[in-house]
Amino acid sequence: MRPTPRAPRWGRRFRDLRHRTAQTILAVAAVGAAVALPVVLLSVGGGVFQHELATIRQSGFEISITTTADHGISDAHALSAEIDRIAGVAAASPILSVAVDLFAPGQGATPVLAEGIVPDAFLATQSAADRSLLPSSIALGDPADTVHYANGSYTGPESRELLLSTALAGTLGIANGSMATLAPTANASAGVGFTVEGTFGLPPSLLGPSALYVVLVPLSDLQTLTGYALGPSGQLLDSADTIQVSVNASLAADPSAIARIAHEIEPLVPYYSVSSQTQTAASLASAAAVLTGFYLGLSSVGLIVGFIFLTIILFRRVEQDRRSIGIRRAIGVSGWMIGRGIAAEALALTGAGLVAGMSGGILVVVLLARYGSSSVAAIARDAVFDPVTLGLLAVALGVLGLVAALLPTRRALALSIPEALR
Amino acid sequence: MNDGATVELVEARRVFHAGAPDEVRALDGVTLAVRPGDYLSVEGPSGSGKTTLLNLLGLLDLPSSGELRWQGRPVPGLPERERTRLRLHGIGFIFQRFYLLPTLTALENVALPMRAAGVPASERTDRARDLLARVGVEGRSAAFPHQLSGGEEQRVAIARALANRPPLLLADEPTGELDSARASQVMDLIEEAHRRSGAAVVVVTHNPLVSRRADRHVAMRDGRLVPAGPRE
Amino acid sequence: MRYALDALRRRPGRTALTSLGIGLATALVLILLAVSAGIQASAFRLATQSGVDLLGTSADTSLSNASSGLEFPPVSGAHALPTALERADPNVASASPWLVSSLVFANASLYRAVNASANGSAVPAGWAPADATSIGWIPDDNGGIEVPTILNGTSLSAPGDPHYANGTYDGPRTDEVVVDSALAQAIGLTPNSTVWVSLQSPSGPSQLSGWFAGAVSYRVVGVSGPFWFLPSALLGMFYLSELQSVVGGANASADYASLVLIHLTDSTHPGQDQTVLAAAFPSMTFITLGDVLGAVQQVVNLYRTFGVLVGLVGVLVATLFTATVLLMSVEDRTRELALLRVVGFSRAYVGGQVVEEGLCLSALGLLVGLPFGLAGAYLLNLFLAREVAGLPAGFSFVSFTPTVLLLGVLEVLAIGLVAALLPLARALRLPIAEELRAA
Repeated sequence: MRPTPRAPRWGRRFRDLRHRTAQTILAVAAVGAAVALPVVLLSVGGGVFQHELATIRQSGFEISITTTADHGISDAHALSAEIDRIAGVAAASPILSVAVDLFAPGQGATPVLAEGIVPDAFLATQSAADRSLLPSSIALGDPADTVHYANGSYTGPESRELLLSTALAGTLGIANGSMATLAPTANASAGVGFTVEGTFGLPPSLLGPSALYVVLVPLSDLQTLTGYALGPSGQLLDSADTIQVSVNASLAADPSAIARIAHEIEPLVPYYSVSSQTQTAASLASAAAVLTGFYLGLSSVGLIVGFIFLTIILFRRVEQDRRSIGIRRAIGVSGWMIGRGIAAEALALTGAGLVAGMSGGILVVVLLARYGSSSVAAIARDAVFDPVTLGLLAVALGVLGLVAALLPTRRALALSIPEALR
Repeated sequence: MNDGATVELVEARRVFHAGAPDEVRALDGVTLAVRPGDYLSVEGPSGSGKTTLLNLLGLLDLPSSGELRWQGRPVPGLPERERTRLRLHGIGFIFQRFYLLPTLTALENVALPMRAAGVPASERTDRARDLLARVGVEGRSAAFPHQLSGGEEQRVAIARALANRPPLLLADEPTGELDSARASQVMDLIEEAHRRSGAAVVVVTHNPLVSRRADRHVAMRDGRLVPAGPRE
Repeated sequence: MRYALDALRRRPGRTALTSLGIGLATALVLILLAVSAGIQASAFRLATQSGVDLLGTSADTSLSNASSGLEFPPVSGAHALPTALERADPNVASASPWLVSSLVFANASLYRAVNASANGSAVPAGWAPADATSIGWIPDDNGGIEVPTILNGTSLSAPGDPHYANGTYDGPRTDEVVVDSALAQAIGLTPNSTVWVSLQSPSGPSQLSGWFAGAVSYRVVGVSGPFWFLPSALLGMFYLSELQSVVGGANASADYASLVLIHLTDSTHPGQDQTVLAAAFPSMTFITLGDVLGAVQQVVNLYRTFGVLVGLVGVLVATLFTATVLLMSVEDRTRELALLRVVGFSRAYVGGQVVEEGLCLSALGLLVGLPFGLAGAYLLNLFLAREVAGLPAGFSFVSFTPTVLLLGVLEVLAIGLVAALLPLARALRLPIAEELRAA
C-alpha cells in the first residue's frame, strides 16, 4: 500500500498562512515596519560611530591634551617641548583655533577660523591621508616656530606666512604669493599682512565643522595677533586649545606603550585632560551605547505594538481553529503539540516580518544614501549592517514571537473539547 | 409581458463559474411569475436550485441570462441602490436560521427595516410592538435573541419580515429548525400574514406539511421547474 | 454607532489590546510633537521676552557659522557703539555691548593653600580653579534687555563703566563681579568673597603660584540665578572695561566686544532698523530676532522631521494592526452585515458600520494614548530638565499646544479611517446570498 503523501510540517504552516492572505500580509507588514525602524536607526547610528572611530584610529596622533576652558592650555610651546622629550614621543603639536577676519586684496572682511600651528609638529601628527591634502612642505617661514617665539618671549621676527583652504582661496580668488590681511576684528587697519604660501585640501575630519573657511598660520603669529601670546599685564599666556601627541611608529600599535606615555604626561598637566585615542574611542563607544539605547527605546513602541498585534492574530487563529483543535485534542494529540503548532505559527509570522523589515530597512538606508539630502545621504552612506546587532534583533524578535504565543496557547488548551466539537 | 406579476423570471439561467471545469448550472431556463395574493411553495431535493431561485426572486442575485422583472421593470438594469430600495419596501425575508441580530432586542430587530426606511423612532417602536403582538411574543420584546426559544426567534423574524408591509414574503425553509408543533404555529402566522396583507408568499421547503398549505406548487430538479407531485 | 460599540463590546480583550496598541503609537506621536513644540515655544518665549530685537556682530557673520561652532570675531570700539547706534537710528532705545569670554576662577581657600607652599604641594587633591563663561557689559546700557535676577547681594551698581574713563582705561576699578549660583556653589562664593580671575588656565598646582600672580582679584557683590542667554552653567558678570583688561582689547583703538544687543523702542519692524544700521555700520552685521528664531526653527524642524519619521512607523504599525482587527470584525459579522443588506440597508450604511467601528477604536486609542502621552512627556521633561544645566525658570521641553493635540487627534482619526479601508472594501463586496445560505 502506498503511504499517504503528507505535507511537511512547515509547508503546512505556510499553507495555513496563505489561506488567510489579507490577515497574514497585514501582520507581516506590521511586524516588518516595526523591525525596519531599529534596523535603520541602529545601522545608521552604528555607521556614524564606526566612521568616527575610524577617524580617531587614523588620526595620526595617539594622545591629545585638552582643557574645558576656551584656549585654555597655557605655556603651549614650552609644554610641547617638554612632552617632546618624553621617551617614545615622536611629536607634540600645539594648536590654537581662533575666529578672525580675513581681508583679501580689495575685499571686505571674511570671518575665518585661523589655526595656529607649529608646522613641523603639525605635519608629524597628521595621518598619511591628511598629509596628502597638505603641501609637501609647510614651513610657513618658521617650521619649528622658534624664531618669533623664543623661550617665552615673542621678540623674534614674525614669519607672517599662511596656508589657505582651497575652497577659501577659490572663493576669494587669492593666488599663492599674494598678500592677505588677518585682523582680530573687522577693522583691517588693526590687522597684519600675511603672504599666502599655498593652499590645502580639507578632510571633513580635520579641522572642525567650519572647515571651508580655514587658514593655517604659525602658532606664535596667531597668538600675537589675537592677544593669546601675552596677557594684558604682560604675563606669558602662550595659549592653545589642544596639544596633539604622536608616538614613535614602532609604538603606535601598542596600547600599553601609549598608556605609559599618557601616564608620563599627566603629572605635567594635572589640571588638563590627557586622553589617549583608545580612551577617546572607549568614551565614544559608551556614548554610542547610550544612543543605541535611545534608538531602541524609540523603536520599542513599534515593537510592542507589533507584539500586541501578533498576540491578537494568534488568539484569532485559535478561535478560527476551535474545531480542528477540538478534534486533535479528542484523538489524543498532546497539549505540547498544539502549543508547538501555535508557536510555529508565531515564528512563521515573526520570521516573515523580520525578513520584510530587514530588507525594507536596508532598502530605506540604500535609498537615503542615494536620494537623501547631502547631509542625510552622507550619514546613510556610512551605515553599517552589523550581523551581530541584526542577529540579536532577530533573536529578540523570535523570543517576542514566542512570548506572544503564550496566552493564545493557554486559550487553546483551555478549550472544552465537547464545546469545540459542537 | 407583465400581467400584474410582482416578480417574474423568464427563461432565467444562473450559471456559477461559467466556462470553468467546475461550472454549475444552478438555474436552467426557469420561467415563473409570482402575482399578488399568490401562495407558492417550491420543493425539491438539496442542490436542485431552490435557494438560487429564491435569491433571484428576492433580488439578492441576478440571472446570468434570461429576464428578471419586478412589477414589470427589468431588474438587471437597475442600479444597486434601487435594488436595495426595492428589497427594503417590497420584500420580507424569513430564513431557516432566523438571522436575528444578536446585539439587538426582539423589538429592535423588528424595528430594523423601518429604521432603514426612515420611519420616525416613535412610530417604528409602536409598529414593532404591534407586530410582536401579532406574532404572539409581545411579552418578549426586550429579550435578546439568545434569550428566546427557536419558535420565538422565528416569530420575531416573521414580524421583522412584515415590518415594511412588503407585497412579497420569501421564506427559505422557515420551519427547518423547529419541531412540528412550533412549525405549525409559524406556518399559521405566515398564512395569517398572507391573508391579512394580501402579500404574495413564496415558501421553499422540504416539508410536505408546509407545502400543503400553499395554493400553487412547483418543484425543482437540476435547476429546472418540474410539475409538483399530487397534494394530499 | 450602536453596532460599532456592540461589535467592540463583544470582544473586550481584542478591543482592549487594540486600543492599547493605537494608544501607544498615539502617545509616541504626541510626545515627539510635544517636545518639538515645547522647545520651540520656550525658545521663542525666551527670545521675545529677552528684549533683544537686534544683534550686532562683526562683518559677514552668519548664524550658520555660529551654529557650526565658529565664534564671531569681536567688534571694536565697543564703548562708543551705544551712542553711535542710537544716533544712527532714533528707534534704538538701548544698545549694550557684551564681551563674552571663557575665564578661569579661583577662590580664597585655594589662594591660601598655594601661599602655604611655593610649589603647590599644600594644595589638597581635587582643588583646582574653575572655568566659567564671563560677560563684560555696561549695566546701564542693558535697559530693556533681560539680565539674570540677583538672588543674594547686589548687582554691579556704579553708573556707567568707571574704569573705561573715556577710553583712557585709567578710571577707578570697581573690582566687582556678580557670579551665578552654579559658579558660587562650585567654588564656594558668597557676596563679599574674593575671587581671582585670569584668562590663563594653569596646567597644575605647581603653576598656581604664578597663576595667582598674574590673576586679577575681584569682590563678589552678588549671586544671580541662571541665565539662559549663554549656554553655560557657570557664569561671571563684570564691567566691560574690567573684563577687557583681563582678556585683552582694553585700549581705545581695540575696545573689544563680542556682540551688541539692541533693544528697539518700536519693535514691530526690526527689518527697517536692520537696514538703517547696516548702512551706517558697514563693518558690522545686524541680525534680527526673526533671523535668530528662524535658525531655532530650522533646528526644531530638523528634529521634528526625525520625530515625525519615527512616529510614522508607530502609526503605520498601529494602522496595519487596526486594519487587521477590523478585518477580523468584518469576518466575524459577515452574516449580520449581509442581513442588513437583505433587510434593505444601503451599502453606504453597511460600510459606515465598519468605518464607525474604526473610529470608535481610534477614540478608545486616544483615550489610552492621551494619558500615556501626557505622562511620558511629563517624565521626559523632568529627565531633560535635570540633565540640561543652566535652564531658565519656566523652560519646558514639552508643550501640549492646541496644534499638538489637534495633530494627535487627527493622527488617531487617520489610523481609524485608513485602517477601515480594506475591511470596508471587504464588507462592501460581501456576497449577500452566499453569506445567508444556511450552513
